[in-house]
Amino acid sequence: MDFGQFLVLLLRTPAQMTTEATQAPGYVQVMASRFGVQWSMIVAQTINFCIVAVVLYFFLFRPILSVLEKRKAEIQKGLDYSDQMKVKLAEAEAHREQVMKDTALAAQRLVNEARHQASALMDDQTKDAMIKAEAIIMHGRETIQLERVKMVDEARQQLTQLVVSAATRVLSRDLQPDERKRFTESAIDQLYKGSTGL
Amino acid sequence: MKHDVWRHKQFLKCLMKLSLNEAGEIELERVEAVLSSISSAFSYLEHKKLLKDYYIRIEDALRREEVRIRYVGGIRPEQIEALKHFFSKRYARGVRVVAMEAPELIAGYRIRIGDDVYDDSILGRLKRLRNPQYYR
Repeated sequence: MDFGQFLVLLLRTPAQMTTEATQAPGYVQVMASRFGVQWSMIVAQTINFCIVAVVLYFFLFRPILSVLEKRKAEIQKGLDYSDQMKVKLAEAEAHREQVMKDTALAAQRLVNEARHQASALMDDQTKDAMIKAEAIIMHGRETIQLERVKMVDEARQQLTQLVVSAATRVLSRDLQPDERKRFTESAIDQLYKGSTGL
Repeated sequence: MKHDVWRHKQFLKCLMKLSLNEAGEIELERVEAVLSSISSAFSYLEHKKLLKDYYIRIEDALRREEVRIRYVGGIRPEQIEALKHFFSKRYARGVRVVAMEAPELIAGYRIRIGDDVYDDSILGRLKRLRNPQYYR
């Protein structure tokens, strides 16, 4: 077959080729012979292919598969570890939040207790201060009252002493002898007649 | 010891009774008689304490039976007798009256018998007015 015939065969449409194959008997054999197909070679090639496939399977594909399996297992292990870590992290986070809540509650309770105690202490100190202030005020009033009484007594005593001194001088100077005698006799009469001048 | 003290006191009481006359006054002759009997009956060392206690009691009795009147401006004799009668009756014993002038009283009298004082003088009234707390 020359090049022109070959071009004609190549340029045929599929419909034309189908028609020719169905119309011409032994078409497959013709085409096989035209392409140089030899069944022995095909069988040998097949066997070679099988042998190569088996060799590749056992010496290349299986180690690669095993390596891949190992990598896959390691990756799975890592993923599992990661999941576990995530779970642990979540648990730790939850624990932390719980601890934070407990701590916040405890702190709040402590703050409330401290406020209550401070309030009670403040009330007690206020009461004590009020009692002390009242005592001081009472003491001051009593002191003032005593000082006032003392001053009045002193003033009265001084006034009395002045009056008595003046009366003593006046009576010693101005009382006449007959008045003194009359006074004495009258006093003595009163004594032995009933009223004493003790 | 306690019994000796009691006996001593009882003996002194007897001596004091012997020293008083019927009017309850200390009489000089009776005191002299008591002293002479003590001197004859006891030695000096024995009756030293007795004489001392007897002296104290006689002095006290004389002081208690003496009415010392201090006055201003004169006092009538009948008033002195009335006072003697008054104090004899009040103290149930005989008393002697000693009267003397005391111009510092200004007017009135001041009578002392034993530990008691009767004061109705101007000076006493002024003192009571000055220091009323001493005469409450």
